[in-house]
Amino acid sequence: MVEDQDILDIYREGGKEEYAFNLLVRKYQERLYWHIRQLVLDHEQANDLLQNTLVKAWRYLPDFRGDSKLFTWLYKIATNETLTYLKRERLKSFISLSNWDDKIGRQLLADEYFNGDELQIALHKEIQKLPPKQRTVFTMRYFDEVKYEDMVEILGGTEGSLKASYHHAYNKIKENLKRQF
Amino acid sequence: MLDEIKNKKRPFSVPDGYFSTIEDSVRGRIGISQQREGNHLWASIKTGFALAFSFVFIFGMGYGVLSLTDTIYNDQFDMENDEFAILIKDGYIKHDFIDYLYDEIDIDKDYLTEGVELYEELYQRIEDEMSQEDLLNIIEEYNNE
Repeated sequence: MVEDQDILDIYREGGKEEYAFNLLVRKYQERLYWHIRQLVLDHEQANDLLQNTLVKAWRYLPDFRGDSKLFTWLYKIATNETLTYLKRERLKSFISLSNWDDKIGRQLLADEYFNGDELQIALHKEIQKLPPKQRTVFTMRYFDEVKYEDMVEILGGTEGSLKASYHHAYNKIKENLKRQF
Repeated sequence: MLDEIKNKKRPFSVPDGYFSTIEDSVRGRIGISQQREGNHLWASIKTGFALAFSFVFIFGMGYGVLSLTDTIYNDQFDMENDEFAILIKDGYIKHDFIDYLYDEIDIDKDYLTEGVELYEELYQRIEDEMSQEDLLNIIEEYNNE
């Protein structure tokens, strides 16, 4: 696997920007995709957001100073794109909590690219009920095991507030799942 | 139970060969994006001179009118006039408050972007059914930060 510094060195050599960018895409596309997919659930939407993320990465790579790790920088772009989308969707579709629950359940069952069991459907329904930012904190920690120090770089805030947000979400989801199963 | 779910196989899949297509797709989008930027730049240059001369005049007029009518957006929470604070104080039930947020929020307003953590916290606490007094305290704390 190519090191981040090697990718950046190739990029800055001159005349090899596209080659370096392709290396970056190949290295991180899957991690970024799954991060987005876990939040939006739908493959087509995740694909769209991933591509927006990578287009933005291409546009802003010349300005990347290396203050943060390359991956946290990419993760941040992906998270911002996804959060913007989620907040817009949340405001556009005025659905009561009980209807939203059914909608997510039906969407997952009908999705040809979802093959989880009842418990996994229930988990994702609970995750979708969380406000967008807390949902992001939860999925990053629970599924991707992102360290809190990296999460601070990506989402802002403090380690303490992110930990509190995660544990609050974790306990709430756990209680709701216990009631159902 | 959450640990049990975590150990299960990921329930999502992708179309066959999906990840091998991303480079080409992104390249296509970058091409379109750069073309749009080029067109936009040229259009901006063509109109730039005309706009420059009128800019100061229009800005000055606009600022004057807005100042007089007091509609320049103030992004401080005003507990007496803030639409959310008023809702809480007037005793709207949780669902009405959320309904109002959905119907009325313009996501592009600066204060919402800057105060997004407050929005998230408010929403979460509404879900947890905090008292009105607590909700008002949160708004006031944010206002005083």
